[in-house]
Amino acid sequence: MLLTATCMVQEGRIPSEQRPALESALKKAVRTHVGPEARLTVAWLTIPRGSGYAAGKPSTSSMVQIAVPDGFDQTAREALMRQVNDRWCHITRQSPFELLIGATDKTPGRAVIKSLVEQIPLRKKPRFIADYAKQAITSLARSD
Amino acid sequence: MPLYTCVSDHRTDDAKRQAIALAITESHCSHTGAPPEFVHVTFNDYLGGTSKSTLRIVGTIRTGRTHEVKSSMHAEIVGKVAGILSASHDQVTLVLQEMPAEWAMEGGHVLPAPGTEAGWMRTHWTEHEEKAKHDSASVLR
Repeated sequence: MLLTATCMVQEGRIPSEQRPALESALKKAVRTHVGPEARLTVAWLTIPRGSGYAAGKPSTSSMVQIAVPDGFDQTAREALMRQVNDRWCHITRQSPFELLIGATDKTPGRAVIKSLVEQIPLRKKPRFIADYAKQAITSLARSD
Repeated sequence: MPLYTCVSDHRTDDAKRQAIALAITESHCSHTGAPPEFVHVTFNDYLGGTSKSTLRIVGTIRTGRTHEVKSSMHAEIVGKVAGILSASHDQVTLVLQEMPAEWAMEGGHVLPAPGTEAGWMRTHWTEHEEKAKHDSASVLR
């Protein structure tokens, strides 16, 4: 079972050296709470300075969205989010109030991504798809 | 949550971004009663936007708002953003997607259902602010 996670981080907030540890933590949490057969690819989106806001002010928050199987058990979902929260905050030293985690069922989660991808003009789609595919392959290949 | 992602063909200048972020936050909070701390707004130039619209916004909000709340909030956000951009209303589009509150976590706690934020904030946000004060006092000592 192949699942995806998207991590949106503010520029300059999460050092790139921390990303492998964060990816590893996400993969471990998914294996623990979704199942040992679950494989996770992680994509990163950096929000440039001046492009992220919370409460109407410049944001320091990170947002992690993990797609889980449709109809995923709520107790397991909460345990997954809690483990991600704890590991992320431990690794990055971010406050839990600087972290928004979503563990969304695959099908409705895909609808949100689709709404965003529909906005990409045709001329930019090849670059977007290439970037995404490169990140997915790198993420799958990275040992935990 | 909510998370509003704004995509456009051209980079919107910083002052307008700030004004748009504030307008979305104020409208979302005034219509739903949600605390502003929950409202995240991001701008994405990389995605680029369609040529038809000046600014396209995808808002992911918690499930449970009434149709009236969503449609009045929708109209207000589009109106305010169009005003900030000096654009017509049809050059700004807003798509609202709903997600159950219990699918998301912030501050280390599962988000409350719409309408129950006050108790959640009293318990968790106060705890957070007290800890932040304590931590900064520890640093100063």
